[in-house]
Amino acid sequence: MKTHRLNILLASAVVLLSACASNPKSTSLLDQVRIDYAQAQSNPKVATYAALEMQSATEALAKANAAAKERESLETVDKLAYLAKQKIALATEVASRKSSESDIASAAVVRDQVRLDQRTLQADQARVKAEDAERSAQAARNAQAMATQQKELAQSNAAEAQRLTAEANARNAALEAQLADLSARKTERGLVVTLGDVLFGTDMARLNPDGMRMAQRLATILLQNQNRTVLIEGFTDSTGTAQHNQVLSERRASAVRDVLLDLGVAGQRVAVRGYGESNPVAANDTALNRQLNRRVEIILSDERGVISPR
Amino acid sequence: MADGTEFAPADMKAAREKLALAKNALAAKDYKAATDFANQAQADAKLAQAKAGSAKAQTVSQTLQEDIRILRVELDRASAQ
Repeated sequence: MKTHRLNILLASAVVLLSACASNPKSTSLLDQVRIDYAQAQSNPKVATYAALEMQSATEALAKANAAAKERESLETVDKLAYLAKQKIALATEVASRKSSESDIASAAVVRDQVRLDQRTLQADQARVKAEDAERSAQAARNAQAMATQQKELAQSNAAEAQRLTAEANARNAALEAQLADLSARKTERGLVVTLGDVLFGTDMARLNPDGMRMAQRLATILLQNQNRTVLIEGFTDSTGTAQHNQVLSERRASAVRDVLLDLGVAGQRVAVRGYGESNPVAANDTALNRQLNRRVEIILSDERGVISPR
Repeated sequence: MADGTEFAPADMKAAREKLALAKNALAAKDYKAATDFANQAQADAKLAQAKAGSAKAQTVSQTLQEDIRILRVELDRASAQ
């Protein structure tokens, strides 16, 4: 009797226990899986990149939920919950991989663009450098051309100078030949032509025909050498008063000047001075010496028209 | 599965253990348990593989982003010249 009661008690306990064990509306694992699922669903990458895997996870979770609702054993619910958990994780990982792969693809495009920018920049810089070099080369060529031009100009100037010198030398030579006919002397003051007393009438200030011929030659020389001027100096001997001699020396010099002017020589090229009986070239002791002192000296200037004063 | 061992060692270990359990159950002719363990082993292995794939892709993506950053720095420096 006692044993029978115990058996009944045991049986009811077993029923109670079994009822408890087969009555899980949820398990802690299933609760966790539901949270995982909600997170995966709110992840936009999962929706975009792992729709198929998420579908599979959804089905797995539905099976676990159904088992829990049907109050199947805790073991069965957890087995299904575990599969759902792994599938949710799989969907998340696949979404992460595909998202990264998408990033890789767009990054590759960006990288190629940056590389292209880099090469474009390098090409631009190379082009600018080349243009600078070309400009420098052009400037160098211009400088070279200018130098050549200046050299040619200098050469042509030198040639011109040489030509002018040659011309001047030729003129001088011609002049000296002409003056030689006039018995010109070279002195420190320049070339001096002396018109002696015999070319004037006695005590007169008029050239005789021989004197006129010499004056004509002189005029010709002056007309051919326009840069030159003349100074005409008159001298007498010591016979007579000093005043008379002074006046006579001036008149004879002026007479020569008048002839030159008549022959076309410009007045400003012909200067005149009378020295009277001063500056004799011989003693006034004999008639011959006095004749030497009675003279007109014509000093020819240099090329610049300058005559050193006496 | 070498990538799985490297990038998701815990999941790979779980998959191997479940596979061993499935084989034992099969040997004991407990087909129901064998099927359950095989399903779990498959889920673990797939997850391990996916983790490996996502980790690799993330590494490559980060490397590429770094490459771009360096290229941009070089470009800025070059264009400042």
